[in-house]
Formats: sequence, C-alpha cells, structure tokens
Amino acid sequence: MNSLRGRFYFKITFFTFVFFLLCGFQTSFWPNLITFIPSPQLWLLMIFFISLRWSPLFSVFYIYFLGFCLTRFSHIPLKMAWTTLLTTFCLLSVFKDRVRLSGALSFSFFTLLGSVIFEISYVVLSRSIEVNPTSIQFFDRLIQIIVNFICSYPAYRLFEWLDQLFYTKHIWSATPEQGEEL
Amino acid sequence: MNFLNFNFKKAFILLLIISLPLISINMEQKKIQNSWFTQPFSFAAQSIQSFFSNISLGVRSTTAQYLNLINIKSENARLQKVNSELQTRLNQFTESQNELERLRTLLDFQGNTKMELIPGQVIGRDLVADHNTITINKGTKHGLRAGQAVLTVSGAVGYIFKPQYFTSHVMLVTDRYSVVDALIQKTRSHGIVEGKNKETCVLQYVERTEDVKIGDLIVTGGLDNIFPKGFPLGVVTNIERKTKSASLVIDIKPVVDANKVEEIFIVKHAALENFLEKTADPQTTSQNGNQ
Repeated sequence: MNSLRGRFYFKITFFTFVFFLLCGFQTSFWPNLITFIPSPQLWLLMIFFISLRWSPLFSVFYIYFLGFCLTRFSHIPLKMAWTTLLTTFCLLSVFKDRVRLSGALSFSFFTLLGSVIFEISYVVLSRSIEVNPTSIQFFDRLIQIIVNFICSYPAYRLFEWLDQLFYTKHIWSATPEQGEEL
Repeated sequence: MNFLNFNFKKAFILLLIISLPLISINMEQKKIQNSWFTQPFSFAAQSIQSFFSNISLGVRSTTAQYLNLINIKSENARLQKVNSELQTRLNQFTESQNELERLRTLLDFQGNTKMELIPGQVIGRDLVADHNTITINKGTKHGLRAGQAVLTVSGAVGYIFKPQYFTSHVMLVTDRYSVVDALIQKTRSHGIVEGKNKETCVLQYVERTEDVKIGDLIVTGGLDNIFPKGFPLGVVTNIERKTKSASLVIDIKPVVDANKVEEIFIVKHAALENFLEKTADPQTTSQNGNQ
C-alpha cells in the first residue's frame, strides 16, 4: 500500500510538473515562434483528459489545484478559473458515459465538446460574476477551438503514455471493479 | 605514217599533266587569287562552309548542352546551396542591422530622458486569451514593484501588477482590467483609458463638447502616478456620441502593438518627466520665452 501511495503522490507531482511545462510552452515558447496561429491550449486538454479518465471525486479537487496553478501564468481571476473549469468538468462528466466512442477518437470528440463548453461558459460566467466582462470575440474563440481539436490526437497519445507510466489498477480505474474499494 | 610509232594523244595528256602544275605555280607567283574567275567559286565555297559550319556549331552546342546536363544539374544544386547560404547570411545581416537600429534607438531614448529606466525583455504572454498581459524578465530582484510603468520608445505598453522575484507580469493597456489616466494631446482634456479587447481601448469621461477627431493622439495624463505625463498612448479610431450621455465614448488604437513588442523599459523613477513640454509647439515656446 505504501508503494501504491508513493506512486500516487509521484504521479500527482509529475502531472503537475507536466501541467506547468504545458503552460510554459503555451505562454513563452509558441508565441515567440508562431504568431499567426494561437497556441493550442494543451493545459486545457490535460484537464479534459483528467476529467475523462481519472476518478471523479479526486479529479475535481485536482482540477481546482490546477486552476490555482493556472493563475500563475495568467491574469485570470481564481473565481473565473474555478467556476469555468468546474462547469466544464460537470458537463463533460454528463456526456462522458453517453457517448459510445473509445480511444483517441473519443478524446478528440470530447476535446471539441469541452473546448466549446469552456469558451461559452467563460463568456457567460464572465458576464455574470466579473465587473469587467470579457467580449465575445467569436472568431478568436472559434480558431482556438479548432486548434485544440487538431492537437487533441498527439496530446492524447502523450497523456495516455504518461498515464500508463504510473498506472495502478487499484487506484486509477475509471470505474472500480466489483468489490474493489477506490 | 607514224615513223617513230609515237602516240601523240598520250604525249598531250602527259604534257598537260606536267604543265598544269607549272601553270599553277606561275599563277601563284602572280597572286591572282582574287581574280574575277575565282570569285564565284570563293563565294560558293564560303556559303557552303558557312552552312556546314553553322550546322556543326549547332550540333556541337546541342550535344555539348546535352552532355553538360549532368554537370549543370550538380552545379545547379551547388549554386542553390550557396545561394541559400548567402540568403541566410543576408537575412541574419538584415536582422542584425534591424536589431542594431532598434537598440540604438533604445539607447538614445534612455540617454535623452530624465527618467530612470530599466530595460527588459518580453518572455511570455497570457495563458488565457481573454486577458492581455505579458511577462517580462525583470522582477523584484531588479528593483521592480507593482504600479511601475512599462513602455517602449513608441509609446506606453502597460504597468506592472504582479512582480515576482525574477519576472513580472505586466497588464497591457488593452486588458479590460487596465485603467490609465489619459488626455487628448490637442485639447488637453482628461479622460480614463480602459481596455476593451486585444487591439482596442476606450477613452471615457471626456465631455461631449470637446472637439475630438479621428486620428487625434491620446497621451498619458500623469495623474495616476504611473506613467510620465504626455507619453503617447493611442490614436482615436472611433467617436461615439450618445444622446443621453454627458460624455463621449472614444475608441483608441494603442500606438504600441503589444503582440509584437520584444524589448521594453520599466520606469523605475519618472523624475517628473513631462513629454508634453518636449512636444510643445516651438512657436508657442519661443513666444513664452520672449515674454
């Protein structure tokens, strides 16, 4: 059990490190090389992956933690980060068990869906809880969604590989087997 | 009849054979090559020679071209490589020249102002597209603190709002949380510039009666104790006169495109710098001086 717990902590630490790497890639690497296409939101794709693959209860709190980390790279208020990510997580969870797809195709579909949900919920929530609400910027958001969708396949392969590195059946089964405690 | 049994016919032919060279030797000695009867032959010979010469030259050049194709191909590849190398060097040279020019402008700006400036570089952009902030490579370690102005030679960029040890986050004037005191350079009327979207700000609280036109320059007001007074901020792009409002809503486009900014200055100490005095009308200045 100690070994499992150790792997668990190591996995969380490692995924947090990867999250920081992805944020750094998006803020400081991509914009310095490519200015005409927005960077794919790889951090958001990682959150989609966690929402879809990890245990729901743990995922919520871990996503809150990542939302806090997010504010280190952006001027986004914590309230906006948490509410938007929670909305996205909940809606993805609703659809998760209702779509009969698997593997990379499933992830690409949920990336598309999740990106749309994220952008819409951001605008709606910004207008609800922010003093200076954001503007709609329809085409910017549309391009961002498309870029996210295009990058979803390689991102899935990366996350899948990382997830498998630390895979422990007892803790990380998406749906616990019968008689098995999560 | 023929007592000596002599064949005259054979003798004549033999004489002719011998005499013709002798005649020719004699003609050569007299240099009559250009005599009238040789000219038609010469002309014919020249024509034929020219004809065959042209054909042979054509064939030879064609053959040579064909034979050289292999060499041409390899030579072409080599030249293309050399060309691309030279092109790369030229690009590097142009880039270096541009950088030199830019750095010279920055140095001139730094040297000619009373302000205490810290040069910095942009190292990152905001993670979420809804917010317009940048990250610079200077932090509290370099003496930075929140509320210091960030600008370029061309105009104001934003101000520091989250200084960290090595880096600092800069809120651009286009961010919707950004508020900067500003004034219209022409009329000297004050207003507040707020961010609107990536490329636009809004100048608010300017009286309806003010004479504002599209293209007017908006400069920093200096009342916010962040920016020096009179530094370029943006240009008016649209003016909205609402009937039930006492003030104008003026869209302005920042003079600095924050998406392309690489080098910036942080104003550590403005030292009461006033750019309005520097840009004042020379005639007015001279009149004031005379008075």
